[in-house]
Amino acid sequence: MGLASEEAYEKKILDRVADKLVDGIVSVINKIRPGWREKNKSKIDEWKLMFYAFNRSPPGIIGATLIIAFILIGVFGPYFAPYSYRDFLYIEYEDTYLVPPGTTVTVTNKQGEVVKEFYFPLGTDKYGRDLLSLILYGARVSLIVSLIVIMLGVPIGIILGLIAGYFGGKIDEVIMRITDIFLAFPVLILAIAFASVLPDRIRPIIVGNEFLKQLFSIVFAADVKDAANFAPILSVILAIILVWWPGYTRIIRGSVLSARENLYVEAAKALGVSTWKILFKHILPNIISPILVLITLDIGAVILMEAGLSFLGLGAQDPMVDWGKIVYDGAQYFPDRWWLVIFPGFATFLAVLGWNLVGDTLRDVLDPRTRRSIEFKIKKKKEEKG
Amino acid sequence: MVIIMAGLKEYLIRRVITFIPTIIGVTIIVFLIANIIPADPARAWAGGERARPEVIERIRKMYHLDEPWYIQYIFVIRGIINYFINPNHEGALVDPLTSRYVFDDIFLRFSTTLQLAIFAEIFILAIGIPLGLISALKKDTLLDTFVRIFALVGVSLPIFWIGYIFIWIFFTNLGWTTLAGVPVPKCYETGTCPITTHVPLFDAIFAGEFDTLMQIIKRFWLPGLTLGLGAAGVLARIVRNSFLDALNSDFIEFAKAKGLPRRWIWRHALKNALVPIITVIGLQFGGLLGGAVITETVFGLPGIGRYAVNAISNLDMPAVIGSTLLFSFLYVLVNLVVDITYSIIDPRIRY
Repeated sequence: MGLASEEAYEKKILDRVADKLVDGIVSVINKIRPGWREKNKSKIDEWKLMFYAFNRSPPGIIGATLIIAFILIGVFGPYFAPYSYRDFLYIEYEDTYLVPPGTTVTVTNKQGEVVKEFYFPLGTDKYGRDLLSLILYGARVSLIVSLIVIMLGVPIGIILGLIAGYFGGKIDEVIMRITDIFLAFPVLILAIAFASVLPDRIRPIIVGNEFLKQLFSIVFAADVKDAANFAPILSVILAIILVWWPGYTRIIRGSVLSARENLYVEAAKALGVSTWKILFKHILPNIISPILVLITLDIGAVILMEAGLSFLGLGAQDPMVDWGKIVYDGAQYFPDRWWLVIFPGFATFLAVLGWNLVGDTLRDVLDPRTRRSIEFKIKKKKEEKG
Repeated sequence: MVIIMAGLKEYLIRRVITFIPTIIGVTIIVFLIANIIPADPARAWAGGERARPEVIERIRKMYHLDEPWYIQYIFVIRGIINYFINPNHEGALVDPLTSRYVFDDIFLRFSTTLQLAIFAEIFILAIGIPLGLISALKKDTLLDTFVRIFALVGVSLPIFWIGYIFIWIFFTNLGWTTLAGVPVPKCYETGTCPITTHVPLFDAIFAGEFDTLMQIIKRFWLPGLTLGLGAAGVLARIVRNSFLDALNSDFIEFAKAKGLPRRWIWRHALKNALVPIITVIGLQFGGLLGGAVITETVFGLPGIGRYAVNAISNLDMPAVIGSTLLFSFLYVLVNLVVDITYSIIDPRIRY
């Protein structure tokens, strides 16, 4: 290791940001539970080291940037979109039909004066809708779907895995047989099957309920007029949750089987700590690291699967859009009208890549050996400076 | 040796016994999924809104649609079993839309998906194993980083995107591939095939028809590459990591200390690295068969995945049940074969 790499362990701007972030979170927790900071000093240092390790990884930084961009676009994109996804300009202005990227369409009146001017940085689709706006709206659907799937599917899988692994016996047998059955399906096929049969069951519930209509129109940044089209997207969410939990159940169960033999579990039992507390406070934190990596990678996989299902015509229905749906509609014009495939596909790729890069970096960061090596390098640096 | 074989036999029996309830569970889930739809399938099968009532009534009787779900379930399962046990398919499940046996339709398309998976697997092995070995040998170099990035990019690529980009490069511009039809050997028409497997790729090879073989390669190499790209990167990483793990283990230290020649050390490392590699290859192949739907759609291949998706949109439930069941059966079967293979390679697995 030369001098250059030694220098790299000087604190960088990002490290200072990380310090501020961790200190901020810690002071909030400390307000709620006084004395928490002193008790968990080593834990706090460990958190900071994780951030330092992350900051030293270029793929991690790139990935984090992509993720932040994806989340920001998903949250705010629809509000900044130049046009709505319901602006079918083709109905009024024939010239907006499938125009290539960077085109300005001018509308003139009979006297030849320019009445209106439309600029399409990424071109338009067959309804004369602005592709950039469609991609911004599509980001919202991708973001919401992946968030809900992870927030519902993963806890279901984790809880079932904890129960199966800790209690064993008949409970374990029943849970694992059901898990095995779900794992016996190829995920995409099972998701397709669920996603195609569920909409007809979900639609009446949404359409008949004013509150749900309003709620999902805000969540998906869509018009209430499209309430009937929320059902297929919700079906896709439900379908992916149904195929996603078994993987977590199997992994968690395996880790619990070995973790429950540890002395600290024995000690907690002897002290009369309740079973739920042992499961969630003692066992879960000790086996969570590989799961965090898996969750990060899986968010990417969920985005990919959601887009794939839409590409097969299962997710968003006209006029609603997501990235897969834009490609599904645009594919028939490929390669002449390439922008309808290339841009939304590229957006999907970047979002998925971001999660995969971060997940892969987290694997290193959560490995205690990586943190120790950084810790020693920082200490050495301090000693040299005196 | 005798003891080892006895352990293997016991393990195999145990493994096969757990296989059966899983498949039964799969049939129940598939059947429940098919019954979620509130629409009346009999009406749809008879031709929609304008269908004549007596036709609808006949279909309803034929498929036991007005009886409880378990009667329907037994009817469907019996139809599936009959296809495979009766030599002339007597009493087998018939597709209400094509009026042919469901599994006749399925096997007609299955060869396309199988060929796609085979081509994908060839790419996965040809790219994944060398890349993995190289990056293990050149650990922590630029090359190793490149393989890591390749793997991450590979799994992040949406098939519906990279597929169209490949089409634009290799079909539109270079013309290295064809996109229409599925080539079959000429001996299918003349009936002179020496061995008939119903898989054009194998039959063309056995019949020695190399022009047909070339046509098949030309049609399938690009979809195969598209489908296999992501898995190739994953395999490269697995090969790298399991190889490094094996090289860093105690027995290799010991072999080195003992002064064994390099070649022997490599052989020991390779054998121990093989277990996770074979597992991943097997699981990936199972996944390829079920994950080919999007590739088939992009490249216009009339495979079983397309068939299943079309069947779903036509409410053709017997076809949905048949094809989903076939997918799961193959998937579970591949897992079983993987388990058995590595219990033979590594006796420690047979807990």
